[in-house]
Formats: sequence, C-alpha cells, structure tokens
Amino acid sequence: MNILVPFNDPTALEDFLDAGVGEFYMGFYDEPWTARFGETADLNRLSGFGSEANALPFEEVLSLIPAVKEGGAQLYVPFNAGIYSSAQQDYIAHAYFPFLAEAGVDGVILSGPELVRAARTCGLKAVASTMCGIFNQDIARFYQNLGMERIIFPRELSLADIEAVIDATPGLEYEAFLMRNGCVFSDSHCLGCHRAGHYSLCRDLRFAERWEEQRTPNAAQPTPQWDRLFAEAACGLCALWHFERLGINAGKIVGRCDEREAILRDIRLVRRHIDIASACSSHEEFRRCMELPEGYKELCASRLNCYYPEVE
Amino acid sequence: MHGWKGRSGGPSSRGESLITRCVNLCEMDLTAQGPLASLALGASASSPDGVEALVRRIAAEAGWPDCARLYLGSSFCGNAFLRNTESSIVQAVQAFSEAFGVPCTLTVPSVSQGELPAVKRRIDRLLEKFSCFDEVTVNDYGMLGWAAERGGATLNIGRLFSKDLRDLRYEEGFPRTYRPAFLGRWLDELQTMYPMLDGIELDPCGSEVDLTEAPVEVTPALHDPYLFVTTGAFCPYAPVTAQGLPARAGSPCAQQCESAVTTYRVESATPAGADADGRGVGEVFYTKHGKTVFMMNEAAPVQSRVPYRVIRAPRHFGWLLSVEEAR
Repeated sequence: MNILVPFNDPTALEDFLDAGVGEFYMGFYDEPWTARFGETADLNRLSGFGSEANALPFEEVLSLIPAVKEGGAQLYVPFNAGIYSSAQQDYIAHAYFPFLAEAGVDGVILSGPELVRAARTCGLKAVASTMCGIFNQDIARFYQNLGMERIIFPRELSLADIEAVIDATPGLEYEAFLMRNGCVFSDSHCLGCHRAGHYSLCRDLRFAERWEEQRTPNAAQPTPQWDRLFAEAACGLCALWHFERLGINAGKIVGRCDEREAILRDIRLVRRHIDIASACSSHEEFRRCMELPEGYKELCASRLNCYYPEVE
Repeated sequence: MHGWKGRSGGPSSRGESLITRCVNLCEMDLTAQGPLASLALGASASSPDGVEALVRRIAAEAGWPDCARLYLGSSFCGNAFLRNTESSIVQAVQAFSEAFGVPCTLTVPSVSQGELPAVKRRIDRLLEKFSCFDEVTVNDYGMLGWAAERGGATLNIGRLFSKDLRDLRYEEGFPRTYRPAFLGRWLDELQTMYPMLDGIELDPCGSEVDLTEAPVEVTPALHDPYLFVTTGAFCPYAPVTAQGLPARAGSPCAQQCESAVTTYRVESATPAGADADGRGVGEVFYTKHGKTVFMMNEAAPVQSRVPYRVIRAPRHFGWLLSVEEAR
C-alpha cells in the first residue's frame, strides 16, 4: 500500500520521498480559467483557499511531474469541484487533460461522471473522488463501468462496507482515508464553500450560536469533543493491517493546507506501521506490535477521532 | 373527505399555470411519536384522516388550497426511509391517495453498503403492493441503474445529484440568479442512458431560480422552503458507544434525531437571504434536522419555459405544531 499525501510545496518533495511517500495529489490555479469563468469558479474543491491549497500555476505542475516520477512516486491532479458546467467540462478536457497526459501524470481525480470519457480519451487514469459518494457496490459498479480505474472510499464507510464493495468490484484500485482532517459531513454532499474567511461550514457550525429544540426528552446529546477531535486528529492507523489484507492501493493522509512538519510526522508514523503490518500475520499481532507515539493512548481510548472505530 | 377530487396531477388553478403543487412528507417522523400525532383531530397517527390533516396543514403553510402529489421516504437517511415507509404509514397514504386521486413519489436516499439490501427489499415491496407510487426519486447513480433495470415506475433525479455551491456566508456562494449546472449536456446523456427518466429535483440555491435550460422532456421540481446545504453520514443524536461516538450510516438508531431541531446563527458577509422570517442583515440561520443542515429560502421566484413542480416541506419539519394550532 502506498502512502498518498497532498503536495503543495515543491521544496518538500525530497523530504516526502525520503519519508516514504509513494503517491502525491496536487491541485493548481490557472489565470486563463479565472479570466474565463470568474474569480469564484472553483477549479478544484479547495480553489477558494487560493495558494494555501493550490500554490502553483498549471505550467509549473506540469514541469514537476518528471521530478516526482524520477523519485519513484506517482502524481494525481484533482478536478474535484462539486460540479462543472458544460462549458467548464469542455475547457478542462481541452486545456488541461491533453497536457497532463503528455507530461505523464498518473491520473486525474474526478468529482463525477461527466469528465470520465474525456479523461480516458486522453489516455488518463480516471479516479473517482470522494465527491462521487461511493457508499455502496452499485455506485462503485456504475463508475467502474463508466471507466473509472480507482475509487476513493468516503470517510464514513466502515471496514465491512469497504470490504464488501471491494469484493463486488474486482479489477479496480482502491484508496481509503488514513490520517487527519476528518469531516463530519459527507464530502460528496457538503455544498458550503471552502474559502478563506469563514473556512468550512462545519467549522462555523461548531462555534456558532445555537438553539436546540427538543420535543421529547430522549434526544441524545453528542459528545462535545467529537467533532473537534475528529476534525483535528482523525486517525485510521489501527486499520492498517486490514488495509493490507484487503489490497487497498493507497492510504490517504489529508491536508493540502496543513503544515509540512505535521504531515511529515504522520508520513513517518504510517510508514513505520505499514512495515509492522507487513510483518504480522494477524490483526491482533499488529495491534500488539504497534508503536504509537506519546498522547495516542488517551485519544485511542476515547475513539472519538477514529476513522474506523469498529476496529479493536 | 372533500375538496380535492379530480385534481390529480393538475397544475395550480391560481393562474400559475406552470406549477404543480406537491407536498413533501419526507424527513418527517410520521410514526405515532411524531408531529403527526399532535394533529389530534380524533385521528390516529397512521390513518388517512391523519395524513389528510398533515397534508392540508403543509399546503396551507404554502398558501395552497390543495396539492397534486405527495413525496414519501427520505432524501438523506436510510433509517428515516425505512421508518417513513412502514406498512401502517403507507397504508394511510395509499388510502388518502385513492380518496383524493393524489399519486405519490417514493423518495430513496443514497445509502451505505450495509443498508442497501433492506432498502431494495422495501422498494420492491412498496412498488408491488401499493398503487399510489407511480414514481421513484433516486439520489445516486447506483440506485438509478438498479431502479431503471427493475422498472415499474418512472424515475426522477433527486436533489443530491446537483452539487452547486449554496453558501450565504459568502457573496459568491449564493448567486442572485441560480442556473443549475446539472441542466446541461450530462443530463441529456442521462436521458439517453435512462429513457424512463422523467424529472429532476433541485434546491433553490439563489435569490431566484432560472430553469429555462431544463430540457422539455424532463420536469424540474424545486424544493421549498428549505434548501439543503450539507448532509453527513454521522448522526450525533444517536450515540453508539459509552463515550458518545456518533452513529454512522447503517448503524441502528432509535430516530433520536426526530426529537431535536437545532438552529444555528452564523455571521455572514452578505445581507441575509430570502428568509420568510425577515432575518437581520449580516447573519445566516441554519436549521439542522437529522444529519442534514438546511437553510430557508422560501418561494424563490422562478423563471421557466416548462411546467415545473414545487415540493413543499413543512416548516420545522412538522414540529412546533401544538394541538391547539392543529385544530
């Protein structure tokens, strides 16, 4: 299983490769796109964060691809805005896909079915983003039949659900969340803006003034720490042995806007545990052999930050 | 029961000749514990009289004298879908449908792998046994393919397919005129792939809505008064561990969410949107019900060349109805 990380700073390439990264995903900005469709037309999901999430223009991303591949890693480029107009789809198909294919990018991450044919026509591997909301085998098969070659499982799927979808869709590649930035809402149906200023809607709601009306006394109250811990410290390390068993191709460490050192720490932690998992013959053995850093015990006991809390 | 005979499927009689009025019974607790029970007009919760009282109430909120269609099920939650389509409720809806000639659309959410078999079995049973359902609204491509192959009803593209941003916290997040991006080339392709596709549901993601790009073969439908902004598979109201870990999709729950509606106030960079309650400038109010966060945008003006539907949900999802109000 490869470690997949966001890539926003070319100077970090060597450090990330040394730490054990096998795959990168990298967005870009493009002035002609902005001139054509406006300042607020998202090229990808995080366009609203500007250079925090998309530091480089398109041409520089193209020039980076050979360096990534020389380092033995893969590079994927996201086109995962919630929805594109027909004009925007045409623009992407003609202004970006052919050049990415020529530069040797390993794939494009797509938010829906509309661009799959264009990607495949250019010889690009099409990856189904979490924006596709692949919650079950029927949805997975739809995208597989359309031509997607890899699917990214939504954060909220259990390991059992993931395994069942994998069993039903042989021949695909699979990517699953592993570390950082747990979203309390479904990527695929979260339609607030991600922009500087208010940032995400989930963050605003967490701190918003609120009134709760309860009609019956049995309404549970969510543990207050849950959405904070899940957002800030989401972790799926315990599931790594299962990821290897299931043949998950890439474990994702999220955080295009996060600090380099924080991501590097997580990369090294995951790399170490992939090696441990590979040497273990059972999940129980893996759990015994895990080498969790200081502070993880308390977090793990609460399970409030778990990507896969059903894993013992 | 009187007053609505012969209005089946027809457009509004108020001069708004393009509009078909529809009442949305989704995302409501229709069981004996729900707000339907508060409409204590001598009727039990799951009875045709109870359904009629609820439908009349929802129509009256919109200023409608009647409605031409019901929507039943859920757009967002597998557990809510199974609860809202229990036999006693559907029997009551069937009786109302027969009495008034009002057909019903079955609304199916996008569900997790674990929930899928139960939801499919329920759809099969409902379409086989209850003639009130002539349409199915689906909310993902997997269910679209399955329902198309199954047959037995025309199909609608549900509100989860359209992913235009809708965020009143930013000026650019809520346009003056909303033109749904889904009404483009891909919809034409879908119609070719699925000839039984008949309609598309949309949320009012702008101060006004422009449906003029809708193909004539597909009936657009606009949800009112709420547009959904985000929804998730984690339900904080149904904790599944002692530590309060929220339930995820497919976890069993006791519909704890039905007992709570949360209102949030967030500061906005723009004047408030079309809020029927006249919210102040510089703030946005969200309503969370179940796993979904909504914003109110009531009666957004619509431009359309073709007939369209308005799918009206009750304010506060049916709660806040006292017995006195209902009488």
